[in-house]
Amino acid sequence: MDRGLMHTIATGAAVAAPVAALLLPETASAHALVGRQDLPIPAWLFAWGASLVLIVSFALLSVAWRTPRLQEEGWRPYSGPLAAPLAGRIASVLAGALGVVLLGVVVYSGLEGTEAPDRNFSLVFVFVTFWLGLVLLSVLFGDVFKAFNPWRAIARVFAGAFRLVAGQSPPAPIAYPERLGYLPAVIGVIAFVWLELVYSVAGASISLRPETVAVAALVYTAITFVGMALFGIDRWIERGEAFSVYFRMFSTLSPLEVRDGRLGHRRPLSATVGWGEVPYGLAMVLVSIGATSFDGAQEGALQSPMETSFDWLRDLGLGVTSAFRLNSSVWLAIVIAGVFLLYTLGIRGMHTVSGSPPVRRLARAFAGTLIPIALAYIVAHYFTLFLYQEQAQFTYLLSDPLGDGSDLFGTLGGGIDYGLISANGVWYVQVGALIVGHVIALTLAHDRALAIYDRVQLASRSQYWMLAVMVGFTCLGLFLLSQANA
Amino acid sequence: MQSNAARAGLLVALAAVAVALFIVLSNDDDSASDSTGTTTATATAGVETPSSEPSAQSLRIELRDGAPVGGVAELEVTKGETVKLAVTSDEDAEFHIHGYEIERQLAPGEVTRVTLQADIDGKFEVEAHSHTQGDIPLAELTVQPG
Repeated sequence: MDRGLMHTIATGAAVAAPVAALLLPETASAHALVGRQDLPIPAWLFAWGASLVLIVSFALLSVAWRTPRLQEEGWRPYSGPLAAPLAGRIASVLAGALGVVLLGVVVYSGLEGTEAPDRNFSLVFVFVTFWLGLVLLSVLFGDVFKAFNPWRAIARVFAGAFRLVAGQSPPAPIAYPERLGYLPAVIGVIAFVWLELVYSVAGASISLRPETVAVAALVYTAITFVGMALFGIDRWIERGEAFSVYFRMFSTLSPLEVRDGRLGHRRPLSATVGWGEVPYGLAMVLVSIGATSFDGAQEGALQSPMETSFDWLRDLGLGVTSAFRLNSSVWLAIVIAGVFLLYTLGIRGMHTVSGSPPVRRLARAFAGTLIPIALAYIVAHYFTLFLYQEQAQFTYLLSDPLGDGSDLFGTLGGGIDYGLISANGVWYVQVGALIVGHVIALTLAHDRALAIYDRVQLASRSQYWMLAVMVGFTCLGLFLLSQANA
Repeated sequence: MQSNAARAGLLVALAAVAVALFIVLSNDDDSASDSTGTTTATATAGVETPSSEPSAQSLRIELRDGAPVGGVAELEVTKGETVKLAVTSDEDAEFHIHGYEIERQLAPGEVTRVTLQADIDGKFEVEAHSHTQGDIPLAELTVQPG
């Protein structure tokens, strides 16, 4: 993101094509022009982080419990005075309305607002406030996006009107094929990250413009309505709508959940257990980890191989933009494939333990245990971006969504304070996030193994493999941080 | 308790790996961890003196034919230091230090002097926005934590 999107957001001068930048991606200052880029974590911190990961891993194994504790959600409704209104009809209508308004502002400011991406509401809102902010909210408060989902809100109004006229709910003509699982959502998420990480770069000559974001939002809106019309509103939200599924994945970490219109709480983390049982649930986690890894790697670890392959594509006669996009697309696919491979190796290894279920079942069973790692990657990679850009979001972008100088809420004069956190502070948050994510993931995997294997001993032995996978992911995360912007 | 023995063995092995990793990785970084000493091509800063005199580093940037002469410079300073830049350009352009959000107008034949107190650590792009050539990267300013 730093390289492409943040270049776009931070420079705001994406319209003119810089000649120097056209020659080579590296001169386009591969590290893009985020106002302030993170410094790579220093070697001593990398070493401490990696050592700590190993030590806590084994400490965990040695204190390990012997009966599963997180497999049942144990959901219970809250009885407090706020529990009913929070999940009630009025709150839901208000949240839905807000979602629709925000979607409208994204499209309108994208189409009608300034070309300067850093002064236009749409880009920062979609890629930072929405895409990152809702992950945070989902982890804290559960599946909140369901309430704010603008497409669901619009469709429900439409369905209500239909009921008034026809006296029955709109029928869903096609039963959703169960074996598709989350596939449409996974494709949607890949398309989104492609737009963010690949399309937006393109040799710095053509960056992602606000208008493109608006058009993409409209196209996605159309697709969503078609999906809802074919398979039913709720079914499409559960399976096919990319953002619903993606944010719900992170909400499984939360102890809060609304069931049948009642707010309740469940055992923390327990909802991750079933994540992989729906086909392509595993793919969703791995794509998330892969996309974040790719973004981190292109600013550091993969920078020079990517430049080499870019030159090679240029030598084949491809234009700058197409070479750039093809190059980044291929590398994005390679990184995601690498993440799949690492997980598969771990599962294959685990399968060698006697009494293991078939590989496929095993792979699905442990899918949910990777969600904390996916979250840790996002925090480590994006939290400074979030910290800076949200200051813009709630000051000038809020008061002046079109970038035409209006001051709706009197916050136009505000700006980004890049000095909010020191580099040391950034490092500790990054490394801390990875280590905490690692510990939670291991805890979940251990608990899962106890439920799957008949004997505690076998479960423990299977977990050496899982431990290797998790240590692999966490150390990869640390490595990417140590190379970022170096 | 065979599994316990195996577990203990593995624990020891991994602790050893961790220690080895730590030693290998921290070895080549001894100097950085104790002083965060800055080494720069351009300036000789009195890092040793902890007294009042804050050190300053300077950099000359010359923009000619749409590119900085001598390539994109890399300047590394320690938080709290003063950075002095002298910028010349053969065309009208806007000079911009990201993050610090310093902007100056460059004009041909003029030397633009910028002094900045490096009190935010991180990495920052120094750029010119030219009307004919778009964004031209001039330098990368790295401010190491003090």
